Amino acid sequence: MKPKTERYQNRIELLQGTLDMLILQTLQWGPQHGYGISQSIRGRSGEVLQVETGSLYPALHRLERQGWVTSQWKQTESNQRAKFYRLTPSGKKQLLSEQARWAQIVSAIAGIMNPAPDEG
Amino acid sequence: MNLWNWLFHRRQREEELDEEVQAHLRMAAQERMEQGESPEQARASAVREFGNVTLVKEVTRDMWGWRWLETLLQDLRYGVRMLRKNPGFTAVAVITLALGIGANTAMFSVVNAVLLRPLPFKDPGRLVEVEGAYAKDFVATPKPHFEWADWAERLKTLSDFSLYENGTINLAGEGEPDRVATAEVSEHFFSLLGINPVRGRTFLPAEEAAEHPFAAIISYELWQSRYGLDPGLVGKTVHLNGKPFTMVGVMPSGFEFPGQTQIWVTLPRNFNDEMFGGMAHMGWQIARLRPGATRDQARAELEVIAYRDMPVGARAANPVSVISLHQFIVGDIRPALLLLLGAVAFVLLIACANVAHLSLARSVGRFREVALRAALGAGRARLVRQLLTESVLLALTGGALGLLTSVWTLQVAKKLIPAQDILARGIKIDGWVLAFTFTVAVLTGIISGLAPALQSAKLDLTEALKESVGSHTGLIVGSRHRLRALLGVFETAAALVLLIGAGLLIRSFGKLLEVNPGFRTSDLVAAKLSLLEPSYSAPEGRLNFFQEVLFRVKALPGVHDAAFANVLPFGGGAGVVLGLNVGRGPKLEWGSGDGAFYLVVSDGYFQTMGIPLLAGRNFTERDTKPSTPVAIVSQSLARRQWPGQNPLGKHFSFAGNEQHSFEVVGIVGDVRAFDLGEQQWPQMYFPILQHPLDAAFLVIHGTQNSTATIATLRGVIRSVDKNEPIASIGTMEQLISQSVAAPRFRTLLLGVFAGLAFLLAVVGIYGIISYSVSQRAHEMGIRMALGAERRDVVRLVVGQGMRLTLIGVAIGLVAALGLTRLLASYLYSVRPTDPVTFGVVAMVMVAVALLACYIPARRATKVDPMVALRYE
Repeated sequence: MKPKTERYQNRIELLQGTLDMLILQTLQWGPQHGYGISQSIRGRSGEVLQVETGSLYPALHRLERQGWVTSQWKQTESNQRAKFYRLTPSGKKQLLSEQARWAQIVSAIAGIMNPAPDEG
Repeated sequence: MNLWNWLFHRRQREEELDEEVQAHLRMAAQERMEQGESPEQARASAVREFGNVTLVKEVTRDMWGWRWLETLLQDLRYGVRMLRKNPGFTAVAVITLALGIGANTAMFSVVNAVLLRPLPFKDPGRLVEVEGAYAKDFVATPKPHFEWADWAERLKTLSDFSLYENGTINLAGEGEPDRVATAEVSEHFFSLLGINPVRGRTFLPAEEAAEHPFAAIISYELWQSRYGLDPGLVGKTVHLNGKPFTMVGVMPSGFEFPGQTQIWVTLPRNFNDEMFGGMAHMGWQIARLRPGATRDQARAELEVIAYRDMPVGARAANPVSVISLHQFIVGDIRPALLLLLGAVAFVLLIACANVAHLSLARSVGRFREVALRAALGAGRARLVRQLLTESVLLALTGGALGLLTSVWTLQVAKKLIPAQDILARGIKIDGWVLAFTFTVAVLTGIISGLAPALQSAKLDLTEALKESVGSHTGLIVGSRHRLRALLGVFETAAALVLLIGAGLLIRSFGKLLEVNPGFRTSDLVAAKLSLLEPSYSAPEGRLNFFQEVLFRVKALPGVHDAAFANVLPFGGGAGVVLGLNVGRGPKLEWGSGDGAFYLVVSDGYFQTMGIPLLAGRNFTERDTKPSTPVAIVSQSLARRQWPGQNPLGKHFSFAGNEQHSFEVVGIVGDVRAFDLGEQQWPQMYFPILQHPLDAAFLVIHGTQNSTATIATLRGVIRSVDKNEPIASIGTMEQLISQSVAAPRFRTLLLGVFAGLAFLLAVVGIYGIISYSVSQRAHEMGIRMALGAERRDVVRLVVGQGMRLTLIGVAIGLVAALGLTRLLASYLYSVRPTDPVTFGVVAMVMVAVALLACYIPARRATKVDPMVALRYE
C-alpha cells in the first residue's frame, strides 16, 4: 500500500477550473477518449498530474453539456470501441480565454514568488 | 438538455456511460498487459486505479442535470414498491389520511367560497353597506330616499349610493301565477356593482324617476326556467301584482343579488301612505368608497350628518355602521367557519400522529434495510429524504382519495350550510382548493414522516449490523417508545378538546330546542299570502278576503282555530317601531328610543298561536276603523313602558307620530320573534280590522298531518280567489327549524369532526398498546413463566396505556379550558367551562381508552411462555 500513499501525497491539487483547461488543451491535438486524455495529461506533466476518474468523467460530461466538446464512438488504434471527445469551435474559443487567464495567473503568482530586484 | 430529452435518452445515456467506463478499464488493462502483466493482474490493477466505479458513474451522472428528478423518481419507484409490499399498512395509513385531508379539503372549499373569494362585482373591495342612525336626514325613512341621494353626492368618502329592498311579487301572464323574489332598487344599483345585462338594458333615468314603477329586469335563471330563454321576452309586458311592467333586460347568469332575486324593479317614489307603510320601509343601502377613503372615514362623515339634527342628548337607536359588502353578505358566519377550520386541522394532526406511529412501528421492521443502505454509503440526508418521499407519497395518495370524498361531502355540506346565497353557491373544488389539498397533503406527508425518518436514520451502524434481528429492537425501542407515547398523549389531548367543544355545542343546541318560544309549536301551519292583485287595493277587498278564508278554513275538519297576521314569529321580517311615547316625560324623536316589534293580527290570533292572554281582553270583531284604536302589548313591553302601573286603559303613540294614539286593552305573554336563543324587543299587537295590511300570514291550528292540511288549504284559497298564489307554506316547526339552521350546522359539523378525532385517537391508542404488547411478547412470556398471573400482565399493559390516556386527558382538559372560550358566543345557557360536559367527555374518553388497552392486554396473556423463551 505504500507506493499508493506516496503517490497520493505527491499529487498536486489542481486549481478550480484548471482541469477543464487541461482537457481542452489536450483535445487541441485531436479527438481523444477519456483514458487517452488522462494518460496524455500524466505523460505531459512528467507523471506529476494524475487525473482522478472521479474528476475526469464529470468534467468531460460537463464540458459536453456546455457545448465545448462533442463526443463520438470510434475505434481506437488497437481496435477498441471508445468514446472520443472532440473540441468544438466554441470550445476552442473557451480554451483561448482560459489560456489568457492562465497566463495572467501565472505571471501574477510569479510576481509574488520572484519579486523583481529593487531599482534603488 | 431539456426534460424531454432527458426522459427519452436516459437509458441510452446510462448504457453509454457504462460502456465508456468499461472501455477505459479495457484500455488501461491492455496497456498494462503490454508492459508484461498477466491478464488478471492487469485487469485488477486497472480497476484499482480507476477507483469506485459506481461512485464515478454517480458523480458523472450528476453533470447531466435533472439529478434531483432522477433521485425523486428512484425514491418514488422504491416507495411504491414498499407500499405495495405492505398492503395492510398502506390501506390503514391512506384511509386515515384520506379522512383527515378530505375533511380539510371540504372545509377549505367552504371557507374559500364564503370568506376568501371576492364578490363577483366590480372592484368589490370598495363596496360597502351603510346602516344606522335613523335620524332625520338619514336612511330614508320617513323621508323619501331620493332626497338623500342628492346629499350623497356631496359626501367626500362615498359615491354612488344605492338603496334596495327585498320582497316578493306575484308574476302572472303566460302560465301559472308565480311568486318570485324581487328587489326594488334605486338608481346606480347595477352600475355600482358593475353588472351589465346580457340582453336589453338596465333602467333609464325616466324609469327610475317614475312614481309607480313600470320597468322590470329578469334574472337569467328565471328567464331560463319560466321563459325557456325566449329572446323575445325583452320588450314584452308582464304582470307583476296585477300591474303591467315592461321587461327591459336580462341579467347575466349567476347574478341574483340581493339574496336570490329573480326580478328587479325600480324603487317606488311614493311610499304607502298607510301609517305603517312608511315606517316599515327600511331598505338596505350600498355605496362605493371613493378612492383612498376608508370605512372609518366614511362612518365619521356620516355620523356628523346623522347626529346634526338630533336633539341634544338623544341617542340613535342604531349607530352608524359602514361595513364591507362582503362582510355584510357573509354575516356572522365568519368566526364559526374559522373555528371549524381550526377543528378540522386538529383532526388532520391526529391523523398525522396515527400515521406517524404506524410508520414508527414499521420502521423497526425495516431496520436492517436502512442499516444496510447506510453501510453501503447512503448519507443520512439521503436516507431521510427517501423515507420522507415514501410518507409524502402515502399522503398524496390519501389526499387524492380525500379529494374524492370531499366532492361528495360538499354535496351534503351545501344543503346544510345556512343559505348564504351567492357565496354558498360558489362552493366547489377549484384551483385554489386543489392547491390547498396538494399543499396540505405534502405537509402531512412531511409531518407524519419526519419523526420516523429521523429516528430511522439515527442508527448506530456498527451496533445495528452486529446485532441479530431478534434483539436489536431493544437498542432503539427506548427512544422510539418515548416518541410513540408522546404521539399518544397528543392524540388523546387533541381529541378531548374537540369532543368537549362538540359536547358543549350539543348541550347548548339541546337547551336551545327546549326554549319555550312563547307559543305552541306543534299542529300549527302557516301560509303566506300576498293580496297584491288590484282587486285587493281597497281595504274592504282585503278584509272580505280575510273573512272569507277564515270562515272556510275554520269549517275544515280538525281545524281548531285560524287567524291572519302580517308577520309571524320565525317567519322572517318584522316591523319595528323605534320609540314609543306614553304620555309622560319629553316627547321622543322617532328612532331615539328603545324598539318594539309590531304585529297586525286578526282576533283569533292569540288562541290560534297559543299565546296566553295575561290581562285585559282579546281583539274582537268590534275593533274596527271607527272605534277607538286599540293595542295589546306583551308583558315585557308593559313592564318597560309602564313600570309599576297597570297599563290597561293607558294610551301611547309612536315617536314622531303623536296624532295617532292607541289604548292598551290587553297584555299577552312574550314570544321569541327570530331566534330561540336571544330575547329581542318586546311585541305590540294591533287589530287587522283597524289596519288592513296587504301581505298576510294565515296561521292554522289543526290536528291533521301537515301535507294533508297543505293540500286542503290550497284548495280553500283557490276557491276564494283562483289567482291568489300561496307564496310559501309550512309548519311552525319547519320555521323554527330553519331559524336554528346555523347552530345545527355548527353542532353537526363540529360533532362529526370530534367523532372522527375520537375514532382516530382510540385507534391510535389501541395501535400503540398492541404494538408494545407484540414487542414485549417474550418479556410477558418470561414474567408468566416466572409465575406472574394473567391479572398482573393485564394490569401491566392496561396501566401503561392508561398512563398515556390520563396524561392526555389532563392536558386536554387544561387546553379545553382555554380554547372553549372561543365557543362562548355560540353557546346558549351553557358555560364554556360547563363541568358536566367536561366530566362526561373525559369519562367517556377514559372508558373507551380502557377498552382499547384491554384488548391487546388480553392478547398478551395468551403468550405461551415456552414459545417466548425458545426465541431468546
